[in-house]
Amino acid sequence: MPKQVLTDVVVQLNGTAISQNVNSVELTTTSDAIETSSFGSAGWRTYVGGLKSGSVTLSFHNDYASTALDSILYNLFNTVATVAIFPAGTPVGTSTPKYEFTALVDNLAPVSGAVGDLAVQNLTWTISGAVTRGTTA
Amino acid sequence: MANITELREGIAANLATIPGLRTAATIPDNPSPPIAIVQLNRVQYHQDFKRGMTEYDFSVQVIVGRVDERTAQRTLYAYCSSTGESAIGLAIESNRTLGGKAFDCIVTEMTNYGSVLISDVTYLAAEFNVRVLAS
Repeated sequence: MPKQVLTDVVVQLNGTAISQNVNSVELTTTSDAIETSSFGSAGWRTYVGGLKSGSVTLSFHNDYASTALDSILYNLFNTVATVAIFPAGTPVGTSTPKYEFTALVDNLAPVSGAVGDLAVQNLTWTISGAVTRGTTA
Repeated sequence: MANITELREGIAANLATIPGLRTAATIPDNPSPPIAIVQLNRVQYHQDFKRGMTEYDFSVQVIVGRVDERTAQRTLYAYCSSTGESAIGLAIESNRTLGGKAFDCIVTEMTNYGSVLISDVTYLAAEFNVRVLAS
């Protein structure tokens, strides 16, 4: 598909699919810009890439039932969890990649909302280590 | 995906806990008040990935009697109250999973308190908005 609407994104946390409680996901990666400007740069700043890092932001619709989302997240607090995101669903292929990484679950919001609101958790976790983009199962 | 008929019937079943209140899916030509008509207003799909949640907005129109009857107004006030055995909001939220067919539901507001004309007869009515979260 030349353009794609995100409807069937699969999000896994330590191998458990939690997609049906997720309504938004954003994976970002950045690299440090290390300056290499010199007298020979013709008056322009120059850079090379340095250390890479990333973060993932997930918006959850909470579920407090036994073994459901809230308990899964709470048990992961302050640990490094494996996150896999399949933006075009499964199975993995050349047009349906998988992004996989580990992230430090360093913040949770088990209760968030005003009266009458849907129970949500909007969380951003820091990625620990590499982000891999896979196109084979 | 949840069955819309089952969701509507779940709301109707909760409304049936109010003594003397009838329910219907469509506005009858000659309503016999008090009656609550449960209708679907809007469906918002894809509220979660993988069709994890759909949001359904229902309206419940409660018709209590001819607009010039003082009793009708008192009856409608009781239906609009937030407490009491006739409170529409309490009744609908008395079983928030609608018999296990929904994740949750909430009555968000009452609007359109006033007269409605049905088959040349003017009735007193009010409308309640019900937000249902289901698969």
